[in-house]
Amino acid sequence: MNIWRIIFANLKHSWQQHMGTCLGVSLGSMILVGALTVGDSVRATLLRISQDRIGLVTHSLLSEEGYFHSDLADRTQALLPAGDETRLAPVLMTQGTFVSPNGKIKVSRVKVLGIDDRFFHFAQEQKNIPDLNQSGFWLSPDLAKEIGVGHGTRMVLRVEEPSLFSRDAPLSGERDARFVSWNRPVLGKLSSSQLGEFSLYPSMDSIRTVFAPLSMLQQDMFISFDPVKGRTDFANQLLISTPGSLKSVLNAIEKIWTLADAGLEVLDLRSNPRRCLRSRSVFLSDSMVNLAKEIDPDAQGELTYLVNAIHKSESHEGSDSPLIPYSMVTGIDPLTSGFLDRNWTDDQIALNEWAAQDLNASLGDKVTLHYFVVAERRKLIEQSKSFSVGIILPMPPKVPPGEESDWTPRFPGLSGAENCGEWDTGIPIKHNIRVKDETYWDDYRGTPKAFVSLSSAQSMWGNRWGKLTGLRMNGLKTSRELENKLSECLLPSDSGVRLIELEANALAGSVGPVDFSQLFLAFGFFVILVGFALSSLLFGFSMDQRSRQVGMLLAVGYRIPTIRWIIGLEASAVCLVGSVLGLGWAWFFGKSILWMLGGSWSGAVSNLQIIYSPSVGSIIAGLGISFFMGLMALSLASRKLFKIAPVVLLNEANLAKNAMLTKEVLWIQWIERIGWVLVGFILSLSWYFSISPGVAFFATGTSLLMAGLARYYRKQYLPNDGTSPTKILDHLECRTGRKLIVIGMLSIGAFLVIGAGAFKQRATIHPLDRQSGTGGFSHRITTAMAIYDDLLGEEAGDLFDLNQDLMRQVTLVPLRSSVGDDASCLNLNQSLSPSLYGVPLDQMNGRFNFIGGSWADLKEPIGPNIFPALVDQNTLIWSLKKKVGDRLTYLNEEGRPFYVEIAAVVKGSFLQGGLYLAEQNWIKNFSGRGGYQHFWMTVDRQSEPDVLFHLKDRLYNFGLEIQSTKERLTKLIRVENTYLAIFQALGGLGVLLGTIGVFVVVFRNLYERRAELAILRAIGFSSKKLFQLAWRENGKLVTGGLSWGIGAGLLGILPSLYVGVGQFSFGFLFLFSLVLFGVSILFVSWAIRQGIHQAQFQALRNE
Amino acid sequence: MPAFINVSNLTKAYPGPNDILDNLVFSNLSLTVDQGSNLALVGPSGSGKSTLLNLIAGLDRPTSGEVWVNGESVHNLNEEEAARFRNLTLGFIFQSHHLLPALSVRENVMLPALAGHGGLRGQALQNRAEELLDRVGLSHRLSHLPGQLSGGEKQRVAVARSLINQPSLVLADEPTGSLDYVNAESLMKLLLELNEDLETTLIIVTHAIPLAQKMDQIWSFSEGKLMKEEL
Repeated sequence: MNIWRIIFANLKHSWQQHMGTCLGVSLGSMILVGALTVGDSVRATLLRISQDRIGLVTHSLLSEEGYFHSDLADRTQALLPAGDETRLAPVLMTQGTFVSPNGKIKVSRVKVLGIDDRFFHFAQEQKNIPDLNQSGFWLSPDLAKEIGVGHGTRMVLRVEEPSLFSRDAPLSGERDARFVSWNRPVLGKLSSSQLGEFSLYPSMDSIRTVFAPLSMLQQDMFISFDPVKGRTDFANQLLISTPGSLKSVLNAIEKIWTLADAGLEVLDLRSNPRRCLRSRSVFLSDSMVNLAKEIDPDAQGELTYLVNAIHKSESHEGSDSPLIPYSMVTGIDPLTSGFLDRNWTDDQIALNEWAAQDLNASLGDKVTLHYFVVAERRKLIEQSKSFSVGIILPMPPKVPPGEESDWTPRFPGLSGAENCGEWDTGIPIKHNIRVKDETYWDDYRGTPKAFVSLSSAQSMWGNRWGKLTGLRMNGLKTSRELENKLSECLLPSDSGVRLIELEANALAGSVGPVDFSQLFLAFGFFVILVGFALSSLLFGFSMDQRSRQVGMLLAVGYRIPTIRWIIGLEASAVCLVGSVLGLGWAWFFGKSILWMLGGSWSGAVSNLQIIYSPSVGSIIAGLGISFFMGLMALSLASRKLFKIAPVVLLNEANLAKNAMLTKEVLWIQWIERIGWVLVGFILSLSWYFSISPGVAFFATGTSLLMAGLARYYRKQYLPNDGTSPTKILDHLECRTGRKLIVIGMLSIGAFLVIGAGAFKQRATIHPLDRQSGTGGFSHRITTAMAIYDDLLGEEAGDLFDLNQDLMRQVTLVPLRSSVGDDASCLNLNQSLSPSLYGVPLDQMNGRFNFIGGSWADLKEPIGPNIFPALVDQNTLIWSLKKKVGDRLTYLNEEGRPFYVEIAAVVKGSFLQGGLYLAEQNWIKNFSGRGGYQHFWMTVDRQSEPDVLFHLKDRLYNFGLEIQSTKERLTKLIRVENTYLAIFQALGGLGVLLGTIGVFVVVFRNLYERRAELAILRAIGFSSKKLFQLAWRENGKLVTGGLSWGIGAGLLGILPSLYVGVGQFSFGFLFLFSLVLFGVSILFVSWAIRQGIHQAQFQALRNE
Repeated sequence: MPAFINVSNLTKAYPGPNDILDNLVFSNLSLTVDQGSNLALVGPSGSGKSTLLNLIAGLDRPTSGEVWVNGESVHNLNEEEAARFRNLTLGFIFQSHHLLPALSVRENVMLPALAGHGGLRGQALQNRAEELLDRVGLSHRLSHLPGQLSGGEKQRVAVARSLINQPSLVLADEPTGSLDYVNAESLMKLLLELNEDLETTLIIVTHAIPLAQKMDQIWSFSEGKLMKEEL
């Protein structure tokens, strides 16, 4: 016999009583373990999806603007040591439309991946690899499911032909978008294990990808990309899988990176010993120029541009005076040119003999250049500048056939033209081209007819893509040597190629911005509370019954710590069994939650099908927490025993209420008063000032609950005045503590459920309200291929055959965009680098509801490389977990970091998911990226159907997708509302379980007072009368608890009602209250009947 | 030789509705008891008999005055010392038996020895419990649970339990209060035999004058005063 024997004997003897306690603990354990395992499951599912998405790829080198030669993979592999298990594969990634030849099936935006066999080295499954020697398409699982076409069905894939440089840039070529299309059969589907879901960025949207043989795409897409060498083997992505150090791979790539990969070339000049560095994209970027000047500081820059006309200033256009149409003019540094005077000024021009003769110009004559510059949205603005003729140069040698002037880069649509009539430079031809112009073209091609100073040329034609079209370099014997020297200094990042750490990002992203463990713990917190409160109540009852036992042990010399130890171990055993029992419930709870998340609550997880994947860690943690929480609850229930003198315990004296001391009454009164004062204060404050409705709700409601519970507590201790016979029973033996727990459970539960209902949102029904979450925009438009022109302008009207009358009904705001993560609440993955959008600020005034900053705050950079951004509040708080003033780091297109600082925040908008910069700041970092793929549109409801139909029809090839902002907002709000619905459901469950507490307390109270009830019955009280008396007392538990809770909830939402936030449903309140009251009344009535019956039975038995 | 129990100017009052100690049970009560003697405390209900017994046992605290038992001031002991005192010096028999329903008769008797203040252990403890149970006539009920015993039997187990640590003082608060006359008579006889055999000091609170008259001394409560009755 030892202490353990006492414990086991007690456990065995009291197992029925402990079973109730166990169930209470198991309820807490269920929610704790269940919530943690739901979080595990979401994380595991996201991780699995991420792994399916990237396969074995660890890194990706991505060139978002340019293209490198796809043999980079082979060249790099060759440099790696033998036995290196690094795998590399070139991929050509673009976007397009995918339609059936008859137009019945149309997918507006698909991702297009050009792959070769090496792509499948990254797949988890190496079996049934498609034969890429066949010419056709393979589809991602989602796309295959969506279009449902069989093997062999022909489909048309259409993509934009890559341009040598941005189509926004001047002289970028033809204005019409050029598409490449393939009509090929669908040859199959790539499963997720075959990398069919490959994507750089995580997204919850369906993955629509068309896979095609790399060579097939290259041959057609790059047919005119490299007119000199005729190469078409371009790619824009290099997939890497390296089990070892990435550094050696990157070193190899940097070593093998060539000028050609960077789109650069070194040309030997026919008439000059220097060599000229040129770019495939015509303009040399500033960083490239700086790099070259590090090798040759004396390098001589040149800027050659196509002007519309050269004419003498005394004449004017339209007059009969000679005018030279469409000529190249070059800007050079007079000091190093060798043919311009040392004192050459910026207002002087050098004409070649041909031009001077044509213009009949002589030294000192005024000559004017007319030329186009390109403004935003490819708007052409003709400008002019006058010069005085400073020198007339002799004619250079004629240009050999197939070659170009030493001064002139290869302009798209120009350099390859057989004659001037074939020119397609993207500018309108409004001057007649004469026979002698054709002759000049035949003999001298793009040889400049005039030269001006470089500074003058740059002031006229310098642009964001560059200020030079060539750089003449000295110092090395051969062009090969120069190429090698430049290549040594050149890094892929200089050409905008950046490294994406796919594997690390996938791991980091799968953690998710929302921790579902925490979310469901928070949602289920009230149920946990109820579970432990119930177990505490039940254990308390058990302890009450054993108070004599404790008294006896104290009387025979047991020390308090020893008795605590005995009871503690007994409680531990109960908690352990309860927690383990809760594991079973947790499995059921977790499965049920996932079932709901796959159904009615799917809005919270963007329809993600979550696989139940509990982790051992979570189970152990949940068990441990529930065990300790349970133990704490039981310790609280038993602690009072040790405060009572043994003699009182031995006599089974009244363990319930003792008269409250005057001091305690005063304290309680003060708490009540403070509660009331706070209620009034917060309501007044929220009337006069703008307080967050959530804060106001909780502050007001909590204050009222505090006042209410204090009042109830105090009232319970008021001495019986003895004047009302109906109050006799109230004061016989009143267990205030346990009643307070029950009233607290009911009132807090009701309060929370009402709050959750009150804060459900509904998308504004006025999409054109500029102050609302739509910003006054009715639709958002996205395109698969960029649109470069102003869709509301005349040029675009002509280009796309747009109905100008219809388009006048439309307001359209085009957005620049860079690809990134979706940081909206629809993406369960943690957003690491949200998309950046460039917004034209002049069109945004007065739009959206700002809670911090304004559009104007986005205008000026905050510092060097620090740009202000706007973000939606939900994205800021939940996805980015940032605050105003915080910064995010991005890489610009040259691979250099810049910072985006949160400067303005809008509320409840459809802007969720990205960061918004002023367009000019966006361009500073992504100058090479042209066109627009995102638009915000306003159109009235009357014109809406016609406008939408018209746009879809005219911009069919661009892969147009239109979504109403209301639909977008509804989708976003659905997430938040689903969370609230879950909270409501679990809160409601908690309240219902709280009513079980009512049953237990009422039943127990009546049982403990069986003697009094027997006496009342003996002196003539009927069962009905006893029921009435008991109901009168215990009904207060229900009416008090629920009334205070509902009252606190209503009062709490008052501030948000008068500031118009939320959509409170009084119908919901009525229904909820009705159900709650109904269930509670039922439980109380049942408990009273049972209690009176049991009490009588027990009393008789005792007699 | 000093008295084994010395109660000196003991006053006990309980607080009333206004938190003032205005419910006086007794005041300035004094009593001395020699070691090995036995006495009965009698008096009407509410006169303070059980209160005095509880105060002697250290189960309740006096409003003023002191209680000395075997040279120790009972109410100046710290918690540990008080527990040790109740465990080793005292044996307490309550009006209600207060047996643990989950433990067998033998285990209930052994229970005080497990409080951790020393004393018998293991087989010796078990032998002692069985010996005491044999003495109270319950050797045939060793493994029974309290629920399987009659009221008289339960009280006998309580008597055996009070003696397990060989106390020098046994306090019995109306031990026969819930027993019929025959059982009450038998229990009193047992207590007196044990008092004599084990040389314990015995104080019994009782309403039953015939039973009280079997004791060496009778002390009577009347109007808050304690008077020794002449036998």
